[in-house]
Amino acid sequence: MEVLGNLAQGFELISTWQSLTVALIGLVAGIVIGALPGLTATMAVAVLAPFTFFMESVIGIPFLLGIYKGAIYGGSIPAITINTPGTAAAAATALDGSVLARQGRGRLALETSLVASVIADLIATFVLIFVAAPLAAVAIKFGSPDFTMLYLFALTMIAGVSGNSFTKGAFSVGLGMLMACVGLDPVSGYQRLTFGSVNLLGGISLVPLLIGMFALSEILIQAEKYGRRILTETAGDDQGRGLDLKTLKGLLPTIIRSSGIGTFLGALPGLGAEISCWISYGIASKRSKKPEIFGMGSVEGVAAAEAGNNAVCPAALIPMMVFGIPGDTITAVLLGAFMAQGLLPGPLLFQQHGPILYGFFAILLVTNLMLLVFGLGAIRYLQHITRIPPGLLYPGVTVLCFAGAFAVNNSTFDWFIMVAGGVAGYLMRKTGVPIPPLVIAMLLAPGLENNIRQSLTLSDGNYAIFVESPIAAVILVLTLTVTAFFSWRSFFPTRNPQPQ
Amino acid sequence: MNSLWNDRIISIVALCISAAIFFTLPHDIPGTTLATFTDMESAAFFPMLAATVIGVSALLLALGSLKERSLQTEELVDVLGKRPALLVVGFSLFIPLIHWLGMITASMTMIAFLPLVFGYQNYRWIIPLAVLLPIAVYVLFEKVLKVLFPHGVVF
Amino acid sequence: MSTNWTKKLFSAAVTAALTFAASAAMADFPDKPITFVTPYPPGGSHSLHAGVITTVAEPYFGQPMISVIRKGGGGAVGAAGVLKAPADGYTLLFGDPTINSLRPQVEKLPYGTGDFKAVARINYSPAVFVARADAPFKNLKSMIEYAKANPGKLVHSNDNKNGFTYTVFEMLKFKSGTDMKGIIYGGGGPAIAKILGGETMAYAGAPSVVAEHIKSGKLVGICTTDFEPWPSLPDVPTCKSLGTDIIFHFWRGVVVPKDTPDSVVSKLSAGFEKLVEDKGFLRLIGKINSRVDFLGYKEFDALLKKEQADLKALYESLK
Repeated sequence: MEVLGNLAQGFELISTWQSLTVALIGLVAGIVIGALPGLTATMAVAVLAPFTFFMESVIGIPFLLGIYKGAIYGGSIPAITINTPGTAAAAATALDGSVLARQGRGRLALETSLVASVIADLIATFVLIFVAAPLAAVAIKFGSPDFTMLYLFALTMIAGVSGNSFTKGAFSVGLGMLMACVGLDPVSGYQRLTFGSVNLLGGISLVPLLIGMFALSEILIQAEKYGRRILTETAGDDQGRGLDLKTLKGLLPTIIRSSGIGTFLGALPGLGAEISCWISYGIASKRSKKPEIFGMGSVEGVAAAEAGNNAVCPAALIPMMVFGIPGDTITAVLLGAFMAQGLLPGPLLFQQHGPILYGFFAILLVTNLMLLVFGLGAIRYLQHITRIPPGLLYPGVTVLCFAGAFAVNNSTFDWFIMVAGGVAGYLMRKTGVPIPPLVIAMLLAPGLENNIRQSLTLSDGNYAIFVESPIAAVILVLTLTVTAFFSWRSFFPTRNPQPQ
Repeated sequence: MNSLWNDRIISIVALCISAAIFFTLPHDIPGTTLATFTDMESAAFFPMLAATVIGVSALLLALGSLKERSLQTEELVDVLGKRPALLVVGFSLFIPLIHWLGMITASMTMIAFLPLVFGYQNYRWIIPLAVLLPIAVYVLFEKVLKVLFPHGVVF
Repeated sequence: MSTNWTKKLFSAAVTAALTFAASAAMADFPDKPITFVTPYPPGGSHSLHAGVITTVAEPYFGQPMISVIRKGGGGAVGAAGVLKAPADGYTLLFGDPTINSLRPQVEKLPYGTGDFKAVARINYSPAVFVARADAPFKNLKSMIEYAKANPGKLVHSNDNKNGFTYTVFEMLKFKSGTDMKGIIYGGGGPAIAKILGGETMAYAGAPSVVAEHIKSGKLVGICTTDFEPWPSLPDVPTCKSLGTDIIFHFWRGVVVPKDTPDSVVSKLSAGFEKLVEDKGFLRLIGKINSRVDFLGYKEFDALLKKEQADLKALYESLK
């Protein structure tokens, strides 16, 4: 088992107190950054990466990896405690997590989120260490028709988060698709729906929009409630029991399944944690024995979403290290950081720099453990965030949101997007139009559109290309099965739950 | 929470959006006609698809609400409450305030006044937060992350 | 009497103050941090170079240089954003031929080629045409023959419309009189992924991107769009030497709004000239498999004007 030998070597390399300390600092900093609404992991990694160019690779890279990991987990903290996801990848967690917090089970949600994240990360890291090359070889075979079908499949997940009204859900999807079209179309060169605005050439910035739709709309909703009642709706001091082993055992199938989904999606270039969390959540809601409580405080939902998004983190490193192809923006930045250290990703990386790579793998495992330990300790204090008076909390969150929205693309125009998103999100919540379908549609529409066009250019307009590829055909069948299943369920529903 | 008028207003808004898209698309992408709907490679296809989804869901929503003619008149759900409206005004003012006063001082102003919308008046906590948080944001963003905010007249 | 004195003193003071302020403004450029705008998403070679440049810049300018990423519209948003800033030399655009020379002339962008002024060129990359190892052609000659025999069947990856890869392939198709099918994938990363995965047969990219794959044997180098072969790829001949004259330099350089005073421009140019000789800078540049091809503002300006004219002529002939 050559790999184990390499791993042992790697552990030796990074077992210096400098590497470990720097990784821990990165982890904690990442958690803080992810937890602050408005600050994203991408921004933090992108901004801090150049500083690592002049550091030694055993210091710089573990630092960035720690931040990456921490930030993806950190986003779930405000998602659960104050219903404002700290990062886009935590949006699915907020659905059930915040309800659990309101029910007085915030500690359970926080611990489930942590444990699910850690387990998913572990599984994905093992895949990275042992199966990277074969998995990458499979992932790279995915062509445009295959991706088209995959995106189509992902879109069916929307049915799982639409809530009660199909038509309103459809409206939400349509809006999301429309908003995704705004901007300069790279294929035809036409400007779509930009109304002459230079700032919209790049499209509607996703992160500021999400910050507005989730965070600002939550502030608006809370302001209204606070006006009506003196007692806030947030639960009391004791947020209840935490996660016990029995519940954990029951959650394991969901966690493992979501980790698998997240790992696979992460290994596919182009799909990031923001998409993976929804797919894991959607599939979990279908496979669950109690699907009707999804959205109403399902611990399974929290576990699925968090496992789904955290598994992406190590998995996205697979195409990056094996082929030098980044899966998403963060891995693209990491790629640059690797290159600046002289570690040129690609087929020759393992041959030339084996030991240091295994050192990084070891760091991934170690920081995972750190996350568990640190996280469990921190949760005791974190749950008390709900005790902060809204009149103090939300103005502070507002400032953070403005700061974070600006930092994404150094654009003051994004503030308009954010505020507009806030108003839109508020109106949608008041009128019963669900927000998750819009978010999912906006995330998936560009990929779907691009891959359709690429496939059709490839086949000169022949639609048969979508079924000619075996991968595409399989996914298509899967999609049809799932759609049929959903339609069946909506015609023969199990008992209707009452919102609590 | 849902009133019928609520749904009807949504349908109207949705139909307007849908129609607007169909009208502006030929302006953005020359040569777009209804026939373009069959051409998946055209840049106009996806917006048209989106507009169609919006339009169809609007119609379905309108039909559904017309079908369920309720016996008593439903009141319009209070869609924009007073406090949220104030907050929206506050957020909108924040933007020019930042350009004018600079991010840090504008943030201090916001934190000083926004709590009032929530009915919170404990200045023993508000003042420290109004001073410390913007400074912390300044340090974190401008010094550590090297993200430069707009600086206005004051700071 | 005292009024006369006071008046004189006052006007003298005002004059002194104004002169001081004016010369201070000129002599003390820069007196606050300089913003270095990269108009592409983080992670690409552009932002990588920007990171390297800004990290070593402070000693050469007396002020820190802040790397700012302003992506969108394939670079148009960042470029337009720089033009909105005051033309005082504190906002620099890290540009390239597609956003500064080509696209303003062929697309409806919110700015033109003349809106920018050259400061310095840092380096350039030629494009290296590559084919998959199992493609039905191994060199330029057989590639052109294959394309001629199978019009529209030679599938290659493209990045964006009027992007780097797109442009050189248009040049190739024009110069060889062939018809190839290009699939736009939205960027270099996906473009390479698709050729490695087998969906396309050919691609053209910067050496830093394709070199590793050529060395490992997955891709075959066809030719380089430069006057000489690229140092780390000596076995890949130039397209020119193979009979198809394609020269395209994807330069990375600094430009500023056109109204920036010349004195400021020359200061910036001098600063960059010294920066590219910095030892730490050169070490990093080597690590990311890049190099330095510095041109000061005067030569860079001449190069830009020639390039813009050449590209315009090329696109006219393509119509």
